[in-house]
Amino acid sequence: MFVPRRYGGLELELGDFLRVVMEIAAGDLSTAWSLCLASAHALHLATLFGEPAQTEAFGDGDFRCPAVAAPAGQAVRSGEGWEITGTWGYCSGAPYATHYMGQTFEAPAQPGGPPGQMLLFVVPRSQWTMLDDWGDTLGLKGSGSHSIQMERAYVPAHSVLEGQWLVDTDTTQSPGLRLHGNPLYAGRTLSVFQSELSALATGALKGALEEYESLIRTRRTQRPPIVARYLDADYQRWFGQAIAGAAAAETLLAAVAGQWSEHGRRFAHEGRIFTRADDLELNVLAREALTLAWTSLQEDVFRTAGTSATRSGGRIERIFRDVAMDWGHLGNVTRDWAWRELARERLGLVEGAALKPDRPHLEVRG
Amino acid sequence: MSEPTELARELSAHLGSRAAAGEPSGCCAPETHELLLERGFYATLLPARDGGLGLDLGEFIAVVSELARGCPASAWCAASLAVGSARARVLFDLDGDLRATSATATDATATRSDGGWVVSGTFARVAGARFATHFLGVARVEGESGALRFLAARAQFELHDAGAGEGGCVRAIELEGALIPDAFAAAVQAPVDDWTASVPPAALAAVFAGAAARAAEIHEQIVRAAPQSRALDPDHQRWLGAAVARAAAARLLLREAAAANAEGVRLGSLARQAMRYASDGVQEALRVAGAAEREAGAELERIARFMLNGLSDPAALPEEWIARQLARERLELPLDAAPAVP
Repeated sequence: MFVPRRYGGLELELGDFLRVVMEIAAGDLSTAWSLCLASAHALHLATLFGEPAQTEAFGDGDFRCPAVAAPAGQAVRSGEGWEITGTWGYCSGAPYATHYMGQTFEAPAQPGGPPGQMLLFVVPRSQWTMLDDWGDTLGLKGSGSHSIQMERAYVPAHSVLEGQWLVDTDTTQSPGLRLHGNPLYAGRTLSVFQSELSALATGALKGALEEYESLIRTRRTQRPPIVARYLDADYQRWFGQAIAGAAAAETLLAAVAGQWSEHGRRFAHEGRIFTRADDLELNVLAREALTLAWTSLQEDVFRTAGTSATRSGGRIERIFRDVAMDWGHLGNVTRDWAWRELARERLGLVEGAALKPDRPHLEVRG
Repeated sequence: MSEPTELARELSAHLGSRAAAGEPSGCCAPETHELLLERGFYATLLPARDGGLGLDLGEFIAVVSELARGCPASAWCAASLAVGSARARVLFDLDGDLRATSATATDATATRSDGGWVVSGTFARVAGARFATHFLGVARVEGESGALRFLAARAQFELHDAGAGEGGCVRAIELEGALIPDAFAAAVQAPVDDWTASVPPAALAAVFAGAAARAAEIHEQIVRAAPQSRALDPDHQRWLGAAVARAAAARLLLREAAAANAEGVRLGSLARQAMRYASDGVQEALRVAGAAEREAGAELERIARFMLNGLSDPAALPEEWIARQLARERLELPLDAAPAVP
C-alpha cells in the first residue's frame, strides 16, 4: 500500500492505509497486525533510503517488511558495506516477509568500550532466519511476531543509514520527496507508528461491536425486567457508548492522518518544516484513539458481554486478549514520555537533536 | 484561517479583557454585546442575504472556538443565538434581522386556539436569552403524544434569573398564555430531533475546545513562570503535555467531524467526546496549577467554572442519552422522545 508507484505500489495516503487496517482488524486483529506492520515500513524505506536501496528492496513492488525500533546486535564495517549480527524480537509479519528493517549499533571502537553509532538497515530474507519463538503470549498469537536472526549478514552501504533512529526521524533531508514527488514520502515517523497501533485497536473494537450486537439481539437480561437485551436501556447505553468510542477513535485517526499529510504537503510546497513538536502532537492525539478503543472494549463490551463470551475461542474473548496486547505494547508504555516530550518541545527544552538510544541520557530532567 | 475566524481571533482579546465585567450579571458586558452584534457573530449561520456570515459548520466551529479563547461565556451566548436563528429561519422561512435562542427541555404545554396555539410554561436555562429577539421552543401538546415546536417573539416571553452562574447570558424564559400563530408553529414527533441532537452540542463543544486551548496556554505560562522551575520537573512536563494533547484532541475531533459531514446523534456523540477532552484537560490543569489559579476571578478558574456548568447545559444533552440513541439507531429502533434529564 505504501510502495511507490514507480515500483508498482499504490502510494496510499496515510488515512486510507489506516482505514484498510481498521477494516481488516475488525475481522481479525492478529491478521491485521501482521499485515499492517509488514506493509507500513515501505513508507519509511521510500522516505528515508536512497534510490539504490529502494530499487533493490522494492524490486517489482513485492515488499513485506517487519521492522523493530529497538536496537540489538552489532555491525562491523566490511568492504563497501557492513556485516551485521544479532537477534531481533517481535518482528511482526515475519512468516511472510520478504525483507527486514532493523536497528543495530556499530561495534565498539575498542573491545569492551561503549557501542558506536546507531544504524538503520534493510536486508532481504535471504540474509536472515526466522526463529520459532512466537505464540505463547496472551494474545496476538497469529501475528507472526517471531524473532529474526542474522549471523554476519553482509549489507551494502546503501542499505544502511548511519545515525538514524526509525522512531523519531528528521525527514527534511531525506530523499523520498525528491525521488517520488509525493509529500507522502516527506513525513516524520512518530505519529505514524502510533496511528498504526491505534487503528488496529479501533478496528478490533468495531469487530467486537458486531459480536456484541449479535449477543444482545439473541440473549435476554439476567434480572427483571427479563427482556431481549437489545431492548434494555442499560445494554443500549453500553452498546452506544462503545459505538461512540469507536466513532471518536476513528474520527481522531482521520484527523491525525489528515494533519500528518498536511504537514508533508506544506513542507513540499511551502518549505514549512514538519517539526518534531508537530509529530509529537499527532503522536499523543493518535494515542487518545487507542485509549478510547481499549476503554470502550474493556469497560462497555467485555464487562457486560457475559461470562459465556469469555470462553476460550469466543470472538470477544480473542479480541479482548488481542487488544490487551496492543494496550500493553511498548508504544503505549511511552505515552507519558510522549506527553513530557511534547511539553519539553513547547517549553524550548529540547536543544538540537532529540535524545536517541545511542546518546547518553544524562539530561532527562532538563 | 478564514476572514471570520481572523476577526474572531482579533475580538477574542477584547472579550477576555471584559469577561470579569460581565460576570455579576451573568452576561456579556454591554460593549461586548455591541461588538458581537456589529461584527455579525450572532448571525454566523444565517445566509449573507439575511445579513449573516453564511458559515458552514466547520467554519462556525472555528469562529466560536476563537471567541471562546477570550471568553467562553460570551462565545456561548453568540453561538446559541447563531444556532437558534439558523434553525428558526429554516423552520419558518424567515428573513431579516433575527436573533433567536432555542431550547428543547421543557415543562411547557400548548393548547389549540383559533388560528394558532396558546403556549405556557418555563424553560429553565436558555443561553443567549438576554439578547434574543425570538425564542424557539418546544411544548407538549395537551392530550396528544407529539410536541409543538414554536417561535415566540420577544414581547411574548419574560426573562428571569436562571441562577446558573456561568455567564453565557443564560436566563429562564417564561411564557404565560402566549398566542403563537400557526405560521410560527410546527407539529413534531419529539422535542429532540437529529438537528437538536447535533448542532447545539457541536456549538457548545466548540466553546469548550476554544476554552481548553486557552487553558493550555495559561497552563504553559504558569509552568514557565513558576519560581521553582516547574518547567524542569518531569511531572509538570507530563501534566502540561497531557493538557495540550486533550485541548488539541477536542479541536481536531470537532474539525474532522464537521469535515466528514457527521450529523445527528453521531455528531452529538463526537461533540460530547470533545467536551470531555476539553474539560478533562482543564480540570487537570486546575489540579496542578496552584492555589492562586483557583481563586475567584482567575482566568483558569473562570474557564473551569464555565465548563462545570456547561457539562450539564440542556443544549449538550446527557451523554448517556446520546449513547443510547446511537445504539437504537444501529439496532433500527426508533429514537427516544427526549432525555428525561433536562
